[in-house]
Amino acid sequence: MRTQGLSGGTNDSLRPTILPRRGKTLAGRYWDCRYLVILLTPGILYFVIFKYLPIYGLVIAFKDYNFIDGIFKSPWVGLSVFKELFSTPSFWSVFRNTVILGFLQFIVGFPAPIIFALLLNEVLNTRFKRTVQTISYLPYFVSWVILGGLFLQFLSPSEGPVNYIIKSMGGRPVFFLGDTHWFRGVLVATGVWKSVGWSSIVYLAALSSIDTELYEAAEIDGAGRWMKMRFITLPSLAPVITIMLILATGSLVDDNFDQVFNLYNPAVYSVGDVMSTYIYRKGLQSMEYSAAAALGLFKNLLAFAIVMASNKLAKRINEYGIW
Amino acid sequence: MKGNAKKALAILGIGLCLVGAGWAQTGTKMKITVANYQMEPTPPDAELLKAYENKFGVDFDVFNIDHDKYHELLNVKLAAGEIPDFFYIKQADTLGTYVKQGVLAKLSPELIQKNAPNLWKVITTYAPGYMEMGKVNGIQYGIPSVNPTNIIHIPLIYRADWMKKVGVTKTPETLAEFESLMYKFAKNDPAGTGKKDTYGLSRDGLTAVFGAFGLVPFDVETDYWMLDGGKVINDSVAPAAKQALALLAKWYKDGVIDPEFVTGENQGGYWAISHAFVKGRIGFTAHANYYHWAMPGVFQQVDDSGKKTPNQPGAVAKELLASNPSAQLAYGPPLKGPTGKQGIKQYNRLMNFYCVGKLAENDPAKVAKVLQILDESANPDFVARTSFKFGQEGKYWKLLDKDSEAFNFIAPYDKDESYWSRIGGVLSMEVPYPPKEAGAQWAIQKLGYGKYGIESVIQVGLPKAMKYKDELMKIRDQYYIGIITGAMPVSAFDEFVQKYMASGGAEAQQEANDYYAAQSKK
Amino acid sequence: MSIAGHNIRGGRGFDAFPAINGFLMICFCFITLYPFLFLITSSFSALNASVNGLSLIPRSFTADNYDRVLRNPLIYSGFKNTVVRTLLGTALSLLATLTLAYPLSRKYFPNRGLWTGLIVFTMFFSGGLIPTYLLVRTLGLIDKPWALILPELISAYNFVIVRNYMQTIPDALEESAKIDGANDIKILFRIILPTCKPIIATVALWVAVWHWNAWFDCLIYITKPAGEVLQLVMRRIVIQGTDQITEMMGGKHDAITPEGLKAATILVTTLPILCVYPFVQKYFVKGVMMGSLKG
Repeated sequence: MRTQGLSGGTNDSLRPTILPRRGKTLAGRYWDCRYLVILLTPGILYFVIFKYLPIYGLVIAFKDYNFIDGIFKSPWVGLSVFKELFSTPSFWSVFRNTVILGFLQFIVGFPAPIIFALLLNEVLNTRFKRTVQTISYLPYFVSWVILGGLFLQFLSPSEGPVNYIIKSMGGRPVFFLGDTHWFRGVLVATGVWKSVGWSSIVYLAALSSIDTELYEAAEIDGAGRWMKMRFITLPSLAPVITIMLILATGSLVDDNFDQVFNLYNPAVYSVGDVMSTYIYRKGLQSMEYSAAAALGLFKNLLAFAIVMASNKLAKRINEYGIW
Repeated sequence: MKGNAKKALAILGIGLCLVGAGWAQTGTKMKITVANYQMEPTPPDAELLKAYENKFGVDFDVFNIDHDKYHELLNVKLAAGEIPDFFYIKQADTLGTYVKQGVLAKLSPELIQKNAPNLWKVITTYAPGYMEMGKVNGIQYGIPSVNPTNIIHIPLIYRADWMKKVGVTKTPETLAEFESLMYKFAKNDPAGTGKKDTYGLSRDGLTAVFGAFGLVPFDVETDYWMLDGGKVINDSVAPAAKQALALLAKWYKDGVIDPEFVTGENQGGYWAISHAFVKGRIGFTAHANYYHWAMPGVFQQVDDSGKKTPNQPGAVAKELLASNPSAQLAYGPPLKGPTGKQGIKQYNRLMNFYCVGKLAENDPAKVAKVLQILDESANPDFVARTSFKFGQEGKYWKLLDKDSEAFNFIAPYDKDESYWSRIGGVLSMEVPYPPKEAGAQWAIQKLGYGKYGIESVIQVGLPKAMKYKDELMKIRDQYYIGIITGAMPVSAFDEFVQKYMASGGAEAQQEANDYYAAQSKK
Repeated sequence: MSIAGHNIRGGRGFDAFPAINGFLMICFCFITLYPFLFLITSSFSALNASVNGLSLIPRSFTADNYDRVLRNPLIYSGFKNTVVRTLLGTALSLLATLTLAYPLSRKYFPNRGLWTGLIVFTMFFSGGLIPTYLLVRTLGLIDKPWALILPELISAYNFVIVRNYMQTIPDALEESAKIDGANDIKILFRIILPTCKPIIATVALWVAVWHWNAWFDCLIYITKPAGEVLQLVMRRIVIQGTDQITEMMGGKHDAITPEGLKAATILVTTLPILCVYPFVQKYFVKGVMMGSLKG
């Protein structure tokens, strides 16, 4: 039995040694991995057909689009759509709101599911653990159309329980949904509440695949709960956390249209109006496809740039990256 | 022999011609694609569709576009080259945009008069001037669907039991009387709880105050235009609005306006419910429509057996009574303001447009056919035109009284709001025959709600106005709310007007004036 | 980690952590459950102006809302369509994602970075609704269930997660299999996948829930009512009472949709998927992967 590869040497040893190698040419290397190529083909076909074929639609952002001419024949206007978009007075405030909101939601919303997963993992009673987990992802399934109305009542200064508690503690009622100082906080808090349980699933999955032998060994060596977490749990979670982190940075410029749309009102436009709600109102009234496309493209470019940057950063720190 | 051969040939020839003619007739039927308002998709073999296919001699292909995202979905189809022949435009102010996109067929008054005579007559008689709204750049593209009940303006609803408690016997007629009552509602504990937990009015009540100045400047999704000294201006920047705002700012400061007004009176669910009013926070509202607020017995209706009985409570009145059985309502007239105006918002009567799709333009027979189908909705016979949408009388619905045009749905269709879409009643449109039903008559005759409604002088959406609308309304909302809540001083109104005009308001105004001048010439 | 909080080697006698943790969990459950109980109450209530403030006792009990939801003729076909698309779609999606991720998780695969990059690129940039609709139409998929499965068959996001998970599998597994003469396809299915159970379960869950809740694609690609999915039917019911224009067009003016109907709708649509998760949970069992390397 060969022991050569067991120490994790070069990966060349994993290439098929049974069939003749075709050598160093590109085609040859593909031939060596031909079974892998077979596996790869359906997926790549999918992306080519369903993602790359329609990608010509991106040009709508550079055209004065109308139906009769279609995408190809509509007149080309270059960057003027973008110029017009950027010169609208509200655009920058809307952009700023989106970024601030995205940032806040990231700071709070990214660690929350991780912490929740870690805490839940510590629960001894399996049945209690399962129950809590099931309950935790219930809010994920309720749409914002419903939740909007629910929170409206919940946070009402006159009749909501939250303000009831505040009042009985001697404080003045807070108009959460109508106050520009509180609105962002409400968005973040409700957003986290809705998604923490669901988002923690992937971390719980990773936690469950950590070898119990490691914990047993640590226990014997006298490690307490926190030491175990520091030296076993967190390092094992590092790959998952890193990937999720990188992907999450992409949503820094994304906003949750459903949530904002169902919770906002004119009193909080200055902090609550975000890119998607703005473009929704614009798009619906005047069918400005080009503007909508331009905004979409702008957002996507930003997201792409941010994710690539964080990917590079992550690789430099601990070698894991998207690629 | 030659003679016989000639005869034989002649007979054969004639025979062939007859066969040919017959064959041509039984050839493919005209196909008409339909996009209309639907509450549920219509299956291809729907009962009414088949019936009308026979009657009109065509084949229908219904696009089944969900009404909630109607324009979004329609636009996807248009982009893919699927243009419906029977073309419904849900948002009236997009007519111009669709014309610009080149997807509509040109019509003409003559064509409409010829193929849809009843429709032409009912619109020009009961809604004069509305047919012209379907013109873009002088060419007729759309036929307006006009809502008959919108001649009734929005209601002014007071808690009558509160009024009694604070010692007011008459519903206010002037703004001054109104102000006095609102203060009493807020300060004099009309609910008798011993706490200061009531207010006079909330979001929708503001509409009544603006109405007293002849304006509808705020809280509307469409532009309201008015004439100010011969010029057309947007209600939002009217000078009188500043006066109204000053008054409202004072009321807010004095605790007369519900501080939660920014989130609106409705807290979700059925749109017509004013939770603030039903729960007894405020004593006045102008939310929803007159029929939602009808207390039991304010008018006589015809019931299932044909007898005259007192009416059932309207949807919101029902909720109010369920919450508080001793509550009473009073219905007041639009308020008279200090500048001599009197009025309150009225919903635009122009609802939608019905057009013919571009693809049909080359086939005059098809255009005529679509118009004929539309004409069916204007059939002077009430039963005929109601069956067009709701299905056969006696099977799905029952006529109770011919005079008041009262009817009821037959179980189980009375609880099934969308059955008519399912059975194929998707070829109809709204026509402005004057409403005869008892509730509407009550509002018009008894309450006098057919007068003093404020409509916009321009009801179509002009291109520049549409382009800037979102931005302008956002600025409007920010300033109006800011001034009322006291976050900004009343003097900020001037700054608002400047900003508004600079952000496209001036362009839209110029455009509106040009349009109005052109329309007035005809 | 089920090892209790005692230290073998002395230290503090009483460890407060489990108690605090337990308490936090209970609070969390309460906060999360409250709105649901509220919804349930509402679904049994006949009136609209919500039940007494936020109390949990309905003012008038009725099963009317459920009756109306379940009486809608499209519910049953909707349910069937949703189940079909969820099962078929999830299975195919998993298969496609796994077979795509595995080769690209092998460090020796040629142009690995390029292929991955091309896939990740689509996560950010897409042609949009109109070109996609045109494509689906050209492929003749309109009104076919495949229109609900193929366009979003592989999510680049899921792909990244699966690929990265596969990268952390020790090389030893693959090596020993290759020594025994297996080809890559066999290796994937016989050896690699069994160790990927947690991630397969996770991605399967994500995809299944996505299919279960999807409605917009059905809106665009399906025109016949018989092909509609459950969420679409439900959504229509829920928004019926909220659109002002709807009422003006609806004919009669006193038809209303009780708030409770909304709540009943939510429960009917989310209940099935909620019942499935507990079964999935058992795949998140520890030591599944490591066990295969022993001996």
